[in-house]
Amino acid sequence: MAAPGKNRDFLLSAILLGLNILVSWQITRFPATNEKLRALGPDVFPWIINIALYVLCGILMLRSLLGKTGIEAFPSYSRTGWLRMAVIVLFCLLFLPAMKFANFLVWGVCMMFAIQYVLGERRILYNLLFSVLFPAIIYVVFAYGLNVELIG
Amino acid sequence: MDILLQALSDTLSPMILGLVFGGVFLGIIIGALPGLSATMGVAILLPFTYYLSPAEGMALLLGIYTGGIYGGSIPAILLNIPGCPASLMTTLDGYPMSCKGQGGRAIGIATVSSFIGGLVGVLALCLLGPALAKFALSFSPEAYASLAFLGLSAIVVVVSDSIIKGFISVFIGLLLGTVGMDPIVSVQRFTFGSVDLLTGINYVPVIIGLFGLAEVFTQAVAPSAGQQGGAPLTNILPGRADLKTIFRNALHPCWIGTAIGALPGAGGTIASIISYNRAKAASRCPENFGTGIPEGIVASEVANNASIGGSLVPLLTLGIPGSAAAAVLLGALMMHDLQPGPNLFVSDGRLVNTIFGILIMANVAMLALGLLSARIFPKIIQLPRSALLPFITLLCVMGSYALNNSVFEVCIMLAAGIAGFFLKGFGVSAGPIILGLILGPLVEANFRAALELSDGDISIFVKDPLSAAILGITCALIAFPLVKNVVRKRKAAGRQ
Repeated sequence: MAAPGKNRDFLLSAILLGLNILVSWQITRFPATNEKLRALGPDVFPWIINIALYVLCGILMLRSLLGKTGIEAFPSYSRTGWLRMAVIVLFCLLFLPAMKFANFLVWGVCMMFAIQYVLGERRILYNLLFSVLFPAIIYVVFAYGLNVELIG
Repeated sequence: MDILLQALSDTLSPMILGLVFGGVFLGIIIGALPGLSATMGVAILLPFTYYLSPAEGMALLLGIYTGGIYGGSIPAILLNIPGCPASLMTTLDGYPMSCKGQGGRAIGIATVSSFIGGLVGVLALCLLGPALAKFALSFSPEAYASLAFLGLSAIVVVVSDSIIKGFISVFIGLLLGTVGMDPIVSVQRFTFGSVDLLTGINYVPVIIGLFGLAEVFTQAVAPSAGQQGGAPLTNILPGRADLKTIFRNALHPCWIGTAIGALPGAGGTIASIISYNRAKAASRCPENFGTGIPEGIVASEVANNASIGGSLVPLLTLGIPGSAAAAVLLGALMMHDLQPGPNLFVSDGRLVNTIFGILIMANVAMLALGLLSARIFPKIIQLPRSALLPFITLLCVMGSYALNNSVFEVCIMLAAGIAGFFLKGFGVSAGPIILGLILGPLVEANFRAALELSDGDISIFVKDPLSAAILGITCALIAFPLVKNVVRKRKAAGRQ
């Protein structure tokens, strides 16, 4: 069995319990409603969900500590694998400034080229061909077919 | 009668037919690529339907769904890798046939079997749908809240490996559904002062993130080995003997697929497993199953395609999706301000009948495209992953952005993608989250309406006979796997 720190069910329940505490704190900040509306107030349903999540996460944590579940650790990936994911996340985040200061095509070509490169496509011409072709197709479909504003 | 004629003319319009054929073709490609599922295809292309009419949008999405489930059988037969979970049982006899040099014949049998299964599923939907919708019109708010909870519980029991984790994901979805303005007392909930969150979390970017981008991350961090080249396919059109085998063995898989597909939460995977096992148990030569016989392909493919029509029965009649893909279809209808459920049959009878027609046409398109384009299948499954993944990322980003021309939706999609990737690593399935998010407002509205009617008395949920019966079924559904687990453990302990 993986140690509690690496046990995926333990980790999951610990993370969710932490987030759930934040949710409880947020629910207590909902504006108070009058007595008549208390049973139907905006906090009733979130409280039910919140309590259910406490119970479920508690059970999951207990079971993982007792060794009844979660014998697997979270999958381990290579540093290259994480780097690939980081590049994809980075380019998704770059979409925000790209739409403000550049335009979709510049972002699309750079994104396609970089992701193909980190995924192992080392044939530059082949890579460039797809990097220009796919964003161009998407641009035509969205900008002209669906009237989506794509110029920064 | 007028509605039927109007629906027929809608279905046969060039635009709808073009979208159905295009959708089926895209679906076949998506389904044929191992790792990409029909649900992912429907999710990624969902934003496109925003610019189409409801019927046109459904034509595209149902085409992709139908083509995607069928397309999963192609790598199952040619590579021994199911393109989607529903094609798992097809590998058992499909791949051995391919090894014997009968890949083309196996594809032909799978195509005709899928067509028959799909068609029977649609016919069941046409027959059962209106009757069930009529019955559902009499549901009280408490019965409807209980029914939604039954749907959520059913998907947990069927989709998740662990019931606890399944319910955790349902409650995460329900919690996300409470973000935004409270519908009754206009109080902001979990908005953190953001104007974008006032209207709640849009489920479309969440769907795209959880099913599209999360899959891109999964395949990017641990890329699978390159696919082997496939031999050219021959003898694709089934001969008279094969057609006889298909028709002789299609009856039981048809009803198994339709019935299991209609259960909220169950789907093509379970239908094909049960159907295959039944065919093997009923066979005079069960030892031949798994060695490459057409009967195995027929049992699996007829059942998983029959489940498509079946899964739309609870979606259209009760507003409860029968599968993750059906949950995305629910999102597509709601995007056009249409609320699936019994009222849809009354208020939009023409659209409902058009959907029936679209499904029939999608199966015809699948048969035609499957048989005509089979020769290019070995090439499709060799598409390079390095070009495919960035293209899907591009579609995910653009699909989310195009919804409201807003980068906020891209942020939601990215957050959902990252969360989906980690949740997958933790063994938590995304399907129940989506269902919780979509059904959350509906469950809350009916829950609070029921409490309002009873002056806050929660026992109303067991006092109403229909609600009590539905809750009883829900409890039984949750208890069944738990009891089965205990019995299995006791038996194992007894043997030791």
